[in-house]
Amino acid sequence: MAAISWANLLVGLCLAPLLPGVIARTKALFAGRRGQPLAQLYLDLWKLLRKGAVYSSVTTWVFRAGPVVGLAAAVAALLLLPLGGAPAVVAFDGDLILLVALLGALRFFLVTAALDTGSAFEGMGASREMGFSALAEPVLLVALAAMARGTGETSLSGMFGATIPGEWATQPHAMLLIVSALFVVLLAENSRIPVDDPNTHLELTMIHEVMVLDHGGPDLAFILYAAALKFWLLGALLVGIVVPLREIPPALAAATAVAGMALLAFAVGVVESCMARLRMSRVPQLLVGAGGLATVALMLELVRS
Amino acid sequence: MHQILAGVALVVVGGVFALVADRWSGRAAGVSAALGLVLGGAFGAAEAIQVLLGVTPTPAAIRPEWAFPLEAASAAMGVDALSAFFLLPVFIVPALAAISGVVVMEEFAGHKAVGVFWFFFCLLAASLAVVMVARNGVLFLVAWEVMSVAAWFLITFHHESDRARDAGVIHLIAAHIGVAFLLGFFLLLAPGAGGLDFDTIAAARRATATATATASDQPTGGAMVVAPGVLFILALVGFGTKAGLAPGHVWLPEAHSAAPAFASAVLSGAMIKAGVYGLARALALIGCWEFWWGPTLVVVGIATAAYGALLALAQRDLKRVVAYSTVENAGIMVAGFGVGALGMSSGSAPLALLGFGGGMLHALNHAAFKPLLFLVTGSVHHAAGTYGMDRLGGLMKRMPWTGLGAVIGAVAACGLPPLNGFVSEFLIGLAAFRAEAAQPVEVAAPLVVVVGGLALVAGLVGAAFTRSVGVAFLGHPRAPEAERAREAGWPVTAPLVLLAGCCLFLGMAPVAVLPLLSRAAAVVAGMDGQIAGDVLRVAAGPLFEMQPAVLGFVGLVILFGWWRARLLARREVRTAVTWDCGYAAPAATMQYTSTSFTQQIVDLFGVVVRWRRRMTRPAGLFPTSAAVETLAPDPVTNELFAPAFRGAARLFRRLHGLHSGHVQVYVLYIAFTMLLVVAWKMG
Repeated sequence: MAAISWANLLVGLCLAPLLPGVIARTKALFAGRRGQPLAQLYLDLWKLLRKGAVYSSVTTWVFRAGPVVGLAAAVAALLLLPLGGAPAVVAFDGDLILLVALLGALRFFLVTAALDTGSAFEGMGASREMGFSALAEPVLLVALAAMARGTGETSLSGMFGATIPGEWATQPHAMLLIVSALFVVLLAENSRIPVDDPNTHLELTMIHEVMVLDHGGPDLAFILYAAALKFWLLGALLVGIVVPLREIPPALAAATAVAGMALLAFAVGVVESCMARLRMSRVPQLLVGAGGLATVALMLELVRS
Repeated sequence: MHQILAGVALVVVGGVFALVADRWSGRAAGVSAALGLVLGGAFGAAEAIQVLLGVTPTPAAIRPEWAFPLEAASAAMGVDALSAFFLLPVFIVPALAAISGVVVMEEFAGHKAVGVFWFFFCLLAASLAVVMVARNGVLFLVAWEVMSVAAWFLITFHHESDRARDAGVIHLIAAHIGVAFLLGFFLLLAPGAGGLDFDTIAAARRATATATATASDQPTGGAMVVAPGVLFILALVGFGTKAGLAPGHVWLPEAHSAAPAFASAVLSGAMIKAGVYGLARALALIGCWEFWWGPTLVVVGIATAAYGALLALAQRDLKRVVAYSTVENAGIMVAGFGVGALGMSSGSAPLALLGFGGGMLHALNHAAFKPLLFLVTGSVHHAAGTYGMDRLGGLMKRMPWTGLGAVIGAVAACGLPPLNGFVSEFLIGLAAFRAEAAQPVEVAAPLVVVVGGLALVAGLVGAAFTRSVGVAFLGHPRAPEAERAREAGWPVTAPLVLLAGCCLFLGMAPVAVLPLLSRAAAVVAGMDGQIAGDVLRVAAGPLFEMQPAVLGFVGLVILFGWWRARLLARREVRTAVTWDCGYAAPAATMQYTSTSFTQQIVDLFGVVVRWRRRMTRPAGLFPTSAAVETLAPDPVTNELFAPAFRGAARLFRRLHGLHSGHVQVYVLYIAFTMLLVVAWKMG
């Protein structure tokens, strides 16, 4: 049992950088281009890790700590993540609070690192990031609370374990609402369209990208890898609900989960190809709407006998 | 017990010496007060810890002979686990704050009454300790009053400024409105109990409770003259005002920002806790639990927390941010108590203990990181002469220790691992999640508010503190004061390091904290300490199971830090300018200001907080100047209390006619009153 958990952790660490490649290829497909290689992020990381670094003379240790703490938080959060119905390496009641708090730590240090440069651009990105995630975090927790109520479990490994198929059978509408709320959170927290456009080239329209303008070399590699892990983390929660296969051998379950992640990345790519980014002032409406969906799901779960 | 009283006496002696020593030098006054606080604090805290750990059996309450002019009054004192738990911040925080205060107060020596200030500083600490150990309603209220008045002297130290005087007045009004409710609480709590000693009250209430349980037809008179719900409301308003619960919080940000920062550390770290302690003690004394109390506490707590977080986000003054964050944390503590009350009324001991334990642990954690943050602001003010964030910036390079303290305090205040704020918020969240998943809907529904509310608050506080750290400590200095700022020396930095160490210890070693907690939580829940310890150890098991992940996180930080250092060791690491988009003359004023950082979020909550802008528009074809100032005043003050007090003033002005100034008329009033009294007695 423990072996499969560690294996799943390893799968996450190794395959997370693949997903941005899948998204990019999907978008290229829609645009009629050939697109970058699937393994582009691996190549980027390899290149960046071999580089030196240039630091702004304004920065302090906070700037250097940002990527390190961020990556550590993302990897530590991965310890709590169940995959394909198999429990996580570390599982306990209320572990989802720690997961959310670790993502909070990642954000805290990324944002302070951005502010450390004293650049107006990065301050702008930091402000947007904190503003949107302050709305996304309650959505995530309320959606998970609905899951907890439905399954009667309070650890992620318990929630995303054997009870998922039964949940789909008894409460399909609530589950659908949870899935849609989590999908919005996934897009918002990972700076995808319609909240943020990772491919934009104008600093004024960026959120995540503009915060890391001054990072380079290994620091940027850490940040890119941590961002890929964060996508994997939130994506795995979504896939854990959407792919309700539990009565199969663990290795097969892990394989389906990975396939599910690839499909999710494809879906994100489709969303990015089919719609434009929302105006900044519209983003909160989207997030509050997702919060509404999650709340309705929670109410449905609360009142069921 | 005697050791604690000796500690209190030492603190008072230190204060009296300060009053005398001020004649020779301001520094001597500070040193003598600090010495008294440190020695007395060490004495007292040592015994408090022993009581909490159960090393020594809980000392019996003492009842010194004291000729109170009231029958019900006595000087009964005692220390149980609940008192001991709250004595920890009361003894430790003022001692640490005083050390840094000695340096800060030096600049006022000679031209301000420094000795008087130190005397009341010590008196505040001593009266707080007496509040915690008082076992009689009258003694409690006397100590409470001394505490409020002593605090007033700290708040109005800078009495030459209007704001400090206003803050003092608001504080006194709030304190006395609060006391009015507390008087009602104790008077209605006591009848039939045969005195105002807590032990007699508790015994009488227990007797009544068992009597009603056995003979369920009607309460057997005596102790239950009013519904427990009335007592609950009185206690909630009375103690909540001191704890900083909205809307009774309005005095708090004013007072905290007016007092010298190290005094605010005591107000926030210790005095606010008196309100929290009072609420816990009152709940224990009332001794029965009605269902609606839990949801009420939860809603009040979460609303206060969200409100405090939002207002913290909108402030431009570093110290007001920290002060509003105190409001937010008080809300979280009370929400924890609400979870506990739900546990009591639904008969779930684990839920009750987790809730009360989480709330109290948050009080202790807050007593570590909030004084840290206030001392940081004090250090900044000492160095740069301002609290205004938009005149600071780049302090991290100039004041590395203060900057480190700011980051640690901010991470702890945001409730992020591996620091202490996370542990208590985790306990409350865990209790809420567990009960939400398993309990019937009427218990689960209020807890959903806790889950969603804590998440929202965490996001807002995260924004508030990244902003404070980012704008004040990082980037370019925005004004010459910030450019010149330097660290003030070890008496200012050492308490910062100690408090930061406390934050780390409380965050990383729940094993050491949980035993302290269980006995104190047991008092509120009315359980046996031993049993409560066992229940809580099982209920808070995830705290231990979590350790691998938290330690893993810390380990990974070290590992990646080492890896990064190795990667860069033999490579070219250069320094350059910040990416400026090709613009060759960037200026410090182009940086995001505190207001611009936060505008987007605050605008979203425009229903609650409204900006007030003062703008000078650029005029003419060649404008020479333009200015904009954005403030976010407290809507509760402006839209609730200000009109209410204006109305009251109008009402009282009508009574002016009664004051004619002629003695004969007053004598007539007296005669009339006598007549009325006689008539009443006859009838």
